[in-house]
Amino acid sequence: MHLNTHPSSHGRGPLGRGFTLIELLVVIAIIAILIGLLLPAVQKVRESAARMKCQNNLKQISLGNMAYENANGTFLPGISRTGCCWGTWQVPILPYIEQHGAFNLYTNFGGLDAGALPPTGPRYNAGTNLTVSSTRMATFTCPSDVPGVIGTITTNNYVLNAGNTSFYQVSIPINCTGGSVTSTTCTTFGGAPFGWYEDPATVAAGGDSSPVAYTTGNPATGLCGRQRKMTDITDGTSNTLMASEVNQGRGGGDYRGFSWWGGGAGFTAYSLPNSIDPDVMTGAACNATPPNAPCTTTSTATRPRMQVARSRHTGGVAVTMCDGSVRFVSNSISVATWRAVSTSQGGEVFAGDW
Amino acid sequence: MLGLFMSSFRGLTVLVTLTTLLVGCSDPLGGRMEVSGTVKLKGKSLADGTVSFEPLDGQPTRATVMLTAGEFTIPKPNGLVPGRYMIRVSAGDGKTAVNPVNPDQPPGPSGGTNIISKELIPADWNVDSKQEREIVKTGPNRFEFEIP
Repeated sequence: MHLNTHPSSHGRGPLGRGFTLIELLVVIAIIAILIGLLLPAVQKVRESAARMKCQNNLKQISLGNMAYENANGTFLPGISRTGCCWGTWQVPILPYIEQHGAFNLYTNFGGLDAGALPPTGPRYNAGTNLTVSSTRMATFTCPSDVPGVIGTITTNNYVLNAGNTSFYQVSIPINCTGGSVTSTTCTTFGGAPFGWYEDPATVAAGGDSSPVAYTTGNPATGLCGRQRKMTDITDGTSNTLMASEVNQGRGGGDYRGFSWWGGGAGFTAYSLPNSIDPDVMTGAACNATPPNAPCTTTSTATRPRMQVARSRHTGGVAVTMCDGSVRFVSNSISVATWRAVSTSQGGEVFAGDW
Repeated sequence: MLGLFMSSFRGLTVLVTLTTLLVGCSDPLGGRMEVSGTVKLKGKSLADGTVSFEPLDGQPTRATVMLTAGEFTIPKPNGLVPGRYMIRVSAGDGKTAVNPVNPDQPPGPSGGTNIISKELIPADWNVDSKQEREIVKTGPNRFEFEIP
């Protein structure tokens, strides 16, 4: 403030104008403190911007599902084709998220499998399908996470809701008796907006099932899923999850988020968001080295195949509901509420924490 | 003078009480407790598997924790709120499918696409578990499960 005051007033002679060492140090110290204060704030702003982008992607996905419903009268076909590697929900949604080019490249979507090998056409990892599955699509990628690949095929961050139990969409423990949707010891399946779709020929031949049949479905011989109509979501579209986040596996050999393949394209709400519960990645592989979450490849009757909703955000996961709304769910949501919002026909009464 | 002192003392007491209450209420972990322990099957440490705590009194928390060399720890941020829980231990052999199928395939209600591993834990610690344990607010919540 008084940098140019007359030198003689301080008695320093002709060289006295300027800073003393102490003043310089004080200024540097103040700058250091300011940087120390600002940098974490910048980091936080970056993460909050990434989270916003992430939630916007979920919005695009749910709007894509809505546009699909508008055009076809049903929600997206399901999480994946039953059988094997014949295309997940990420294929039929492509034209509705402005990826017509990729959609036109993808062949043999939902192709016939009928348990027979060799397969009847290219899987997600062959021919031009590989070009599509190797393309990094911003809408399927949450900027809070690190984009990964298995070979050249991308892993991604968004998965569809397969309900309140496991990917088998039956009770946990499998075949338990006397349970209910809200029971914590024998949890029955309460319906889900997305299942495992059958090939069109089978459905045309009467091979589809009503969601009611899911509750009695046997994991080995159960009926196939059909595409859900808006009216099938009897719990209400605002009360039913549509999609959530998962984390892409790091360090190689981790198939979490490998959503061009059916086993990595869905999640269930049996386990709480970001919990220590393992993802059960049967039929694939996983790597539990942190920052990856715990995981196992062994599926059992009490711990069946599932992916848990996870994110790299602090304190929760972003989700979208079947009505197209997006929200952030806290890790501390109660088991009852989290499962209730995952079912499409559970008829639960919501607790206060939603 | 004394009156002024007394009233400010009273004010201070109220302030201290309120602060204590507020701090007490703002536990971000909602009273979750760390839980740990060991699992033995037929006297031997169970190397690989999971322990599940399923709430029996409508508690908002549950957990399925993986075993590492027979030990498990549920850290406080993922911990359990006090109350009764049913214990379920699960360890698949990872080889024998009770519904043999192609492991390359994703799941689904249709036949031939589901793999459920043979369970090594007896039913009364697994599917039909009657094991109950209480998570308490005080003291360490450490459990030693000995499965016959």
